[in-house]
Amino acid sequence: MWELLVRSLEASTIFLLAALGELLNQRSGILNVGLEGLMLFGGTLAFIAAQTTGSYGLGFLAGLAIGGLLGLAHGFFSITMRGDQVVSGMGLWILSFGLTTYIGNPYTGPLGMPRIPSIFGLSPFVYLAFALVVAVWLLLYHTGLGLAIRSVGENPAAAEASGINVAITRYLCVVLGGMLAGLSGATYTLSYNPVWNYNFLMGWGFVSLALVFFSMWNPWILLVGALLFGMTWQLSLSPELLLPGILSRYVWRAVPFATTIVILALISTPWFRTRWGLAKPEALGQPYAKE
Amino acid sequence: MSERDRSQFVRILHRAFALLVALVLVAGATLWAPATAAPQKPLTLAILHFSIIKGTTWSGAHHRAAQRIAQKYPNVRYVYREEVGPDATVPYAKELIAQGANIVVGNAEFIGLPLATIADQYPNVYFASVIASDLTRKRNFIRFFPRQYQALYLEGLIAGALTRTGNIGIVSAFPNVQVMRRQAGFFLGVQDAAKVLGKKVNVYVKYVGDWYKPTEEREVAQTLVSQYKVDVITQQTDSGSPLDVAQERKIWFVGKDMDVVGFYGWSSTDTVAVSFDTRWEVLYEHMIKEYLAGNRNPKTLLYLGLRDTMTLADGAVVPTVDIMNNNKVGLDAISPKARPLIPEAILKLVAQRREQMMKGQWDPFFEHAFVSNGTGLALKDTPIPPKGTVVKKARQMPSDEWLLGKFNFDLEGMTILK
Repeated sequence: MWELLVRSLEASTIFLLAALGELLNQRSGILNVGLEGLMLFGGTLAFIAAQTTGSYGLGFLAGLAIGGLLGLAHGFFSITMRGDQVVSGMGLWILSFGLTTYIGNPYTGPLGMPRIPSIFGLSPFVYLAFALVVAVWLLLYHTGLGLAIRSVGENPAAAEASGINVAITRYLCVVLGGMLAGLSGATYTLSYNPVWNYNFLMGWGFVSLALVFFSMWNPWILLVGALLFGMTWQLSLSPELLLPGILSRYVWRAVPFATTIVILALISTPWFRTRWGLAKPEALGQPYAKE
Repeated sequence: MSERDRSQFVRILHRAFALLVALVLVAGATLWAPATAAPQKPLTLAILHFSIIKGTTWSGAHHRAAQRIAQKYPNVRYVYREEVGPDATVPYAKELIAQGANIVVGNAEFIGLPLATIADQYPNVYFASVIASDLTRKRNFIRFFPRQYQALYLEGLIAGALTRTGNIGIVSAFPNVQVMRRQAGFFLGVQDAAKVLGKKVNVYVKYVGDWYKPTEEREVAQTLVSQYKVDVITQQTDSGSPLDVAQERKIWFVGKDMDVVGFYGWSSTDTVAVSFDTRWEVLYEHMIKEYLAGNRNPKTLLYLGLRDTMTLADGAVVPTVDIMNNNKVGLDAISPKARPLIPEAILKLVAQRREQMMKGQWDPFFEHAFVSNGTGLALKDTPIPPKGTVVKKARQMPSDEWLLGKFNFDLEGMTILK
């Protein structure tokens, strides 16, 4: 049972890292629906770099770098060019889907490197992800930069008037968010499932994107959502271990998604939002032109 | 006759003889030429691959097969398209036919079946599709599949002998005829090994829901190892995740479809106990020979196995399927680390059954009864036989049509994890 819990936490980590990055993006008003693409690129380049050089460090650096670079590219289309953020994000995802398949194909198969050692039975990235939740929460709610990020996401004109550089703040968020998405992909291919296969994520980036909406843009709720989804997802694969003979496996496979819908409906109620002060960033997805 | 006349007569006789010799030589050369020097009719083999080729064991094997055909037959040109969906089958096929394709193949049923809709429009073209469970055929629409269950039976013998915990796991795709038939071949091998060695072996099957789900395949493999204590694992899916889990957990892996150690170098014989290799070229060669012979009514159901072979360009003779690992075949395909762990009786049995199948003298599906486990896949007109039903008696060979289209149940004794 401990192993099931470990695997659930490790799956949650992948969702959490990517979703934290996207939460930062969205808090600054930038929506990146191409999150899965950033993860695919991060995972692929990290895998290639690690296998080629034999260094995990260089692998993770490659993942972070490509994530940041693609975040920057999305920022350029969304912030500087003031393009449609959904179109730019989808473009990134489609590009990454094809390009990672093309460049990753010769590397198909297991990584073939010694495993990254665990800490008290858990992947070190589980601890890192938990630490990043705290860091993002502190950043957003207890620093001036966090206030600036939230301001440009709510009302960029007012933020600009108060002396905040909207473009720079948003660029910072998209690059940081991209790096976290790249790290998430790298964690997948170097630690969680160290085998390169084309389109290896098969929708995990979109689950991470959904988790941000689920979290009502709060890092703590995001953590709960990621853990919940990771555990129900794991349980749905082996329901016979905990609840033998109850429901078919096909019903269980729908449980993580059904749970998400129920909780999303619950936390979207005015009562919940008012009580917890949660709301979508007002300027999310809207291009900003300095007046 | 004067001396002059005589010498003139002799000269004429010599010329006539020389002419005769020349005629005989020309006639002989004319008769001999078609068998040796005349160029063969050019032919274009077009394959529509449902997935990418590089790094895949299914399309990768089809691609290698076509390349081997082109190496052997200089008159055969090989063209292909990758990642073909069912909506793209017909447009691609028409495009390739316009470019001269004579045989058009879909390397999976879901992309191959649409070819049947245009078969009548192109009466001089052979169309062909891999079989999953549908057996639609037409005069020029061929269906084909290799008897992989024969190699899987041999793998089962080896796996059954190797397990120390008595638990073997299969990371499987989803219940379908192709999967259940192949799993049955493997399971019968495991059972025969267990019988010879006097031990009990459980075979656990856990489905991930599709052919290719890298993450789920890893999780299921991990669960099989940690919760069900399997120490030999195999897969009926397509990603490298179960192999990686075997490597990580230091258990034996039994491969499928291709020799991934020898061909791709994905692992070593420290992890891969044995694998099997599929030579689709044997099936393709059959179609090509029929086409070149001008046969307008080719055999439309090809189900070739260990006894059907092809001689490659380098002279190697390969059967349609065979156990293979690190470029070695037969008993040599067993990992050098695994081989000492396998009792001599099983090694002998593997060698004996392989040879018998190569000679067409034995088949696991002839030898064994098929008793239903009560699990499987209900088909439109074929419900899952109730548990304990003897669907086929021992020492009876089911028809190819039944094996390919109606084998819809698991064999009694397999544990299908819900």
